[in-house]
Amino acid sequence: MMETNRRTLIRTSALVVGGVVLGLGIEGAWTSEGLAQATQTGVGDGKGGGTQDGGDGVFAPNLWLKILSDDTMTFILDKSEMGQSVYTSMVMLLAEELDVKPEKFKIEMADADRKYSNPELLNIQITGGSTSVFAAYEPVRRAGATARAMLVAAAAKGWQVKDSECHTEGGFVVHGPTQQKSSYGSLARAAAQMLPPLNITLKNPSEFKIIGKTQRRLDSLLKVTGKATFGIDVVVPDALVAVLIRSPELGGTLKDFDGTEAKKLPGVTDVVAAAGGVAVVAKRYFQARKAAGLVNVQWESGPLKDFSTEGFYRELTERASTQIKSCLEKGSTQKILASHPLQVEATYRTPFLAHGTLEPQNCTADVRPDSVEIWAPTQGPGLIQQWAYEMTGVPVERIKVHSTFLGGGFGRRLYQDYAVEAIAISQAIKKPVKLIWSREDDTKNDFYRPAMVHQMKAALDQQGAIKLWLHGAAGPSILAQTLPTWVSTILPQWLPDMLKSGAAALADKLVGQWNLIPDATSMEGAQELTYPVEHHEVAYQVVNPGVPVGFWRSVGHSHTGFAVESFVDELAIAAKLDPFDFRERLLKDKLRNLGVLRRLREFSRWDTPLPQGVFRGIGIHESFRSVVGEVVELRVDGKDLRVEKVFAVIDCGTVVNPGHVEAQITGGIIFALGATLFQEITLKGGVVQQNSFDDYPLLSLTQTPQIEVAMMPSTEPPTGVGEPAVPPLAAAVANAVFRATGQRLRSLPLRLS
Amino acid sequence: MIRLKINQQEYQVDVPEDTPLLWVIREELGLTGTKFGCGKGLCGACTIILGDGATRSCILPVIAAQGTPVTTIEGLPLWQKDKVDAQGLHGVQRAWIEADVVQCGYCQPGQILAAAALLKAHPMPSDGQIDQAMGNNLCRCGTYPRIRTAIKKAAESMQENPQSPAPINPQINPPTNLPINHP
Repeated sequence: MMETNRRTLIRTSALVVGGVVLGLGIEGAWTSEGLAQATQTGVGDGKGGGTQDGGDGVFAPNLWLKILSDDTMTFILDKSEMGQSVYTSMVMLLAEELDVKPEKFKIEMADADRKYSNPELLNIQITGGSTSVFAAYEPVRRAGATARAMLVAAAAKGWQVKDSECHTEGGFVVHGPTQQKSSYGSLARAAAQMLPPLNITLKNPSEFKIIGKTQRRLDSLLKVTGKATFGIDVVVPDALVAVLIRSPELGGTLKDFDGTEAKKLPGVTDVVAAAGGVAVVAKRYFQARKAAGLVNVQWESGPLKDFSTEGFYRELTERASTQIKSCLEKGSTQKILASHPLQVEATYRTPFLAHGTLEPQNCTADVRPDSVEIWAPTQGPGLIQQWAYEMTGVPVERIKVHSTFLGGGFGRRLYQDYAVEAIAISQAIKKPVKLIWSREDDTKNDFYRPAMVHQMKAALDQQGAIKLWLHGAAGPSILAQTLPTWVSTILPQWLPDMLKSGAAALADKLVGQWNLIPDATSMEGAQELTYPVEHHEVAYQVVNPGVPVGFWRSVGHSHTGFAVESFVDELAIAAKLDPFDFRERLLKDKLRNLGVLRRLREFSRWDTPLPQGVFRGIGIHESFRSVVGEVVELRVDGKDLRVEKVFAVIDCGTVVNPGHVEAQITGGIIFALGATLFQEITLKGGVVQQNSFDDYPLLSLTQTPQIEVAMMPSTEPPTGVGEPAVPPLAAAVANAVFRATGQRLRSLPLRLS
Repeated sequence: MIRLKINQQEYQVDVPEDTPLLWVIREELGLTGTKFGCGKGLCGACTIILGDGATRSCILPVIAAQGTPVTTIEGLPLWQKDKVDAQGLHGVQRAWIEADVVQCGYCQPGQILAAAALLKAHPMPSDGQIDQAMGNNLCRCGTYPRIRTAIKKAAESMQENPQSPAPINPQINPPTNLPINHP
């Protein structure tokens, strides 16, 4: 058994967000086995799954689709809608094969259920890693095609004609020769009795009517009328509202508190120790928030009491150079360096970053002795279910986790701390409770994008070929912090708890000796360098002071993209080559990357002159199986950096919804530009120094450049679009700054001296 | 007792005078379309229209709204009945759908109300006026370029049909049968 666990860990570790793709296919809807099984045996509870006719003519041939006899068609969405548009794109995939307009579907959000485990993401029901459409492309279309075949078979049987004489259009099965037609709803009962076909042929891309065309969002009407329910909007009868006072110093522990004064305020019901802090519970949010200010709390300092980011960067720089030194000590490296005098060396630095989702973290929990019900804006309903089980001991079957719309995700809501807190508070007060974080709580208690230092050294030959590339990096590891807490949800449910906690301990040990596991979360984008390099070494030193770190839109790529693409630009300058020419020469055998690069050159009019005072910079990076190249046009005004225009080209395989790809690329660029220009989380004495949007600003409309997006035509399966626009942007801006000023800025955010 | 007029309806609420209007709207009246983002008037998620002006409800004591009509996203079509289409949507909401603006959607009620107030003051706003009116309504998803497009679209369509309901141009944008449902 231990052997299985170890193997699972090693296999799964490699695919944490952005890593290698492995379909583990243990259980669930997402594998073809799981799909067939669901279709034949009727897995499920009437909410998708099973072919049984519940008596009222329900046709539910798989986990996503339900057709009722009154022609109501429901799509059950098991992915979290956080703005990336799965609410629309997943429906498009099914609708394409089912021959129904996407607007015809009613969309329901699935509760946490292991049958929705995501094979691309550790087999947990989570949404992340830009995997949704990539992973769904085949299974969801297959689900649609299977359902369609069963509806056709049902109609043909009724009319006593051949299946092959029938076709489908707009939610009807039509018999060609006689022009008889029946709606899907009227066929639901009969279709539920059909056996699913053994062989299914999916449409050829040339037959697509929906995929590849811009489909407006299906959640727009809800969202422009204020009717979309986000986590913070959930209303549970009799639920109280809680705020939680946490240690200002990260890792500090509660010593003592006095809630006497707070309890005197109207509406306040409880002031209790919970979840490591003090929960102040009242009938209304403002009452609780006001009362929290009257609680007198003493904290015990923790391991981060002397931690400051300033000292931390010094430590990281030292550790990164140690890594470079250890690469340099090898014999072959010395030889290459001796024979290639054209050498470049540079150190890049990136800060901790908060996610700043506009909806602050929140969760509503109702913990009872024998059942738990939770409502949360989460990227991981399955993770919450597991946490609730571990905290309450209530069997998983009696823990309901409802997903809502998410007011932004960006990786933040892959962490379930807010749910754990809400569960703990509900447990403590024995009542349903909605926990709402303030903006300050949110900024100061994030799982931050790790601060990193990258040290790089390269040697070039006379033609500009890279003979040697050494990359030493140091910083906290997301994997080391996250994996041990996720392990128990990866393992099959039937394993005894003892084994699960053993596996978590093992995971902890494995990531402790991190070389046993390739840490994609830290070094993706640097390990698998796109550029051909004769001698390539990458070394990473985990420096983990205990500041919580986590997935932040594009994860490891968010900082390796900056380091690698800035450094490549420095190499081009050393080789006295145009940065485009330099990259084109290197990428001559990487056709997909080269295609993006060439299209970008033409699209951005790279070879045409610019108005005076405007300078260009380029960055290109492969991540989440997609390639994105960006050119920025920048004007420098005193110490102000003004990005006026961004051109982006993406190759993401088949473009399922062009309008939404454009939206994600544009949004990714805007997200990245804020981090490039001004976002930074700093700590002093273990205390996060930033509070709200005044000292941790988001990019605003007035600061947003003009953005143009082009997509490469492709019939390959679709790849990621939510994250890949982020990594190349900071380097493209820094590269333009160098051209404008001669200053090479190697630290983010970029600041001219 | 504080008397409020919200979305053309009169309310009496028994809350302390310093309670921010946002929480009265959300928790006492159950109108959750107005969002909490920062509590300091920095992000605009809580934007409502007070009289004719876009206002941050998270820093507005409820007492300050007494005597002035308040419009939230739920009541936008009632605020300018002449700008409403057959589906009951205000011209700005319609433009938002046509320009496919929203992503996560959390900031959008505030964005839409800020835009509606802008268009009332300046029916054909310049880019500078858009910057000024919308510059402090933050969107973490980065929908800004489409917000700008939608405002211009709304300005045009509301200008073309100042009196009658603004229909959608069937040539360019066939009306879609958007589902209304709750998760």
